[in-house]
Amino acid sequence: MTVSKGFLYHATGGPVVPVCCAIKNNQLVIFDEHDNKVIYRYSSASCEAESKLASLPREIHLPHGDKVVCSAFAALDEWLAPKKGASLFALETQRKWLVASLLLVPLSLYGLFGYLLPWSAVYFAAYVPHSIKQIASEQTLKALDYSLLEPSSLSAAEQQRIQVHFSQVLANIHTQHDPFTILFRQGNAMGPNAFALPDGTIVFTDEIILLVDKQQDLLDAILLHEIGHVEHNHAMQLVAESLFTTVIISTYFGDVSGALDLFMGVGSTVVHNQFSQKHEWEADNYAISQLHQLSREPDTFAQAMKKLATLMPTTNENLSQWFSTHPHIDARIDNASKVPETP
Amino acid sequence: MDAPTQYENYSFSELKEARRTIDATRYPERAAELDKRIAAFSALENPTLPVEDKPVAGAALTFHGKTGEYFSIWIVNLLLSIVTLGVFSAWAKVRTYRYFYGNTEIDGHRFTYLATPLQILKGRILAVCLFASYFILSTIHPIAGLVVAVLLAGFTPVLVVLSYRFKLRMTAYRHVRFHFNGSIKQAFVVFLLLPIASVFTLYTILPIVFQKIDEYLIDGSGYGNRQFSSRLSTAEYYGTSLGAVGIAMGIFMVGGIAATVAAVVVASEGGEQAMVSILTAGFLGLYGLAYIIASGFYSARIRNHIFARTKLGNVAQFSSNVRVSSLIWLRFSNILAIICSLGFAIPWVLIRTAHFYANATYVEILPGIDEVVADDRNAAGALGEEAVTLFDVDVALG
Repeated sequence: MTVSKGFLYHATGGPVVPVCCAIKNNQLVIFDEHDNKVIYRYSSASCEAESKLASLPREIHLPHGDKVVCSAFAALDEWLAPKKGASLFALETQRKWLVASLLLVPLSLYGLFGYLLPWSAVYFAAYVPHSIKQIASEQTLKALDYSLLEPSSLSAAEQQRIQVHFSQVLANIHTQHDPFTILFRQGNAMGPNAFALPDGTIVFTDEIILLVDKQQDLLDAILLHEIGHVEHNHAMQLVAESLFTTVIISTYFGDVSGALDLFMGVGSTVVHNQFSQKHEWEADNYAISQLHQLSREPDTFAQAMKKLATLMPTTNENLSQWFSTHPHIDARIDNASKVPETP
Repeated sequence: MDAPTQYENYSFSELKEARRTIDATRYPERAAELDKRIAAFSALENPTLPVEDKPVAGAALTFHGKTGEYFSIWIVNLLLSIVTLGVFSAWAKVRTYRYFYGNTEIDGHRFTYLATPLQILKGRILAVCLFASYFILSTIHPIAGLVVAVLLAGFTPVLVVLSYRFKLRMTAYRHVRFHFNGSIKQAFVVFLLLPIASVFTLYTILPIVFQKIDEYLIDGSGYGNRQFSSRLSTAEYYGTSLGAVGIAMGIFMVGGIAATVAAVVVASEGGEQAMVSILTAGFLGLYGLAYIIASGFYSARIRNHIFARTKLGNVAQFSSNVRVSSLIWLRFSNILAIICSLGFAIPWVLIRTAHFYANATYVEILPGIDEVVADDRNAAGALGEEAVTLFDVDVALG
């Protein structure tokens, strides 16, 4: 008969009794370590136990709140086996599950962040009603106007001229959305930029208009890229995706955080940027295919990108791509330049 | 065989290391000798010990966790959490905490983590709903989001108290639970009013704010029917904070000059882009380095101070001898290991960190331990604990 040393703790606290535990006639027998007198004798049905975990001592809750803790031994484990949690212990300790997890964890993380998460972001974003998008757009613009943007310094006539050209583009494309509204602002810290709000409001900064020397066909190409974002519902997808990523990374790795905060932050940034880069490709390709359908010069998008490229540092470190929300500008120019040959 | 006197020339940490690794059942007399010498060492550090408080046991804090064993638990639980889309993570959390608590031993008794997976799951679902509502609101209506963020910041003290209550209620030693009964009113003072006041004093009272936060957390904590009490020194907080600031400034100055010189040399050879990259990378690296070294200095010194000045009635007193350089190296190598292993070193990092702190910690158990009565008032839910993780407002001592 195996005897295991341990301690008996009373429900009310107070002194601890050093004891020995054994399984005899299918009963747990607890006796005093010093004089070998039996203190308790219990059947399996009257005790509760914490599930088996690694090589930790077994904790057994006795009736009336006392607890006995003793190192594990085979007969005791067997006696407690019908209780909950035994199968989890098997998973955690068997080599085949360790090997399987080593393979499946990276695979399932890849599947989760590469496929399931983007798919559900697209799926749920499609259910966001237009009224919500309108509120979101109005409020976002209000916040931007308050903090960053200022009224455009382009003359009214100039704005009018660009608008007329834009409305020709808009009249000739098929869209599943409400009319697009185009606005002009002075970008200040935002610099040369154009962005689309989820309800179809598209904002051009003065800086980007000056960057392309007010060339209308280049502005049209940029407009089509922004329309691509709206058509694909990218803004709402990005919101859903950031929310899912934050919650998932926090639930999977939050318990062991501490020194890992940095690692978690970097991880969610990388995931987010991959998603954002995918959106940029979709919007680029939308613009290029629309230019083609409108029988316009498809090279204009590449030209606009080249103008933007003049502002960017010429780095091609692969690592920095992980921390960028946009694909590398050279790759975008290549992509925009090669499409005309494959009509 | 060596006589037990071989320990005569051992330092405090060597003695503790020897006590931790010795097989006490095979060499009981050696273990006893070690305990005696360790007790003598810590008595030297606390010379004013009253006679009736003579320790019944001077016990090293021992951590029994093993990297291999925990790695297996971690990765299997992670897989189950992923395939159940996070639902299993509540069970995984309980397994992890049970592993770390259950492997931490003082004076022959292990700690216990008492939370149940369902408790964690409920708290986690509530916290996720709250966080999602806040997140969606702040993207749809940024201004309303800002208002809620300010309200939330004002509410942070409550979250911290709830999470502390839960953490301590779910911890037990010798079948007796810990508890936290710091008042919410006082939490508003130390977590909100004092930090705001420190801004208006140009941060000159910030060390006092840190001291008051630590005192609040310690003095509000208890074990069974006993309270922890601390006598922290304002001078120590000022000295340590100034030291940390000085270290950070020194690193920025020396490193800044070095990075600028390097950048100028590169620029003179025509690489203007390379110059920008060197400056950016240089300052990012400097920032990280200054953070790790200055915060390591602060944490190590303040932890040692807190342990030396904290008592639990006539139940236990503590000492900690974390070395600044060891802690800095631990944190630096942990980050490096996690990055280089793409996260697979997480279990190793957690286990070695637990060993590190256990080796640097020493607890004297006093006779009063046998008179501690279990005190099971104030049940606590897991919402606060889960919310502080998700909203990233968790606090820790020191």
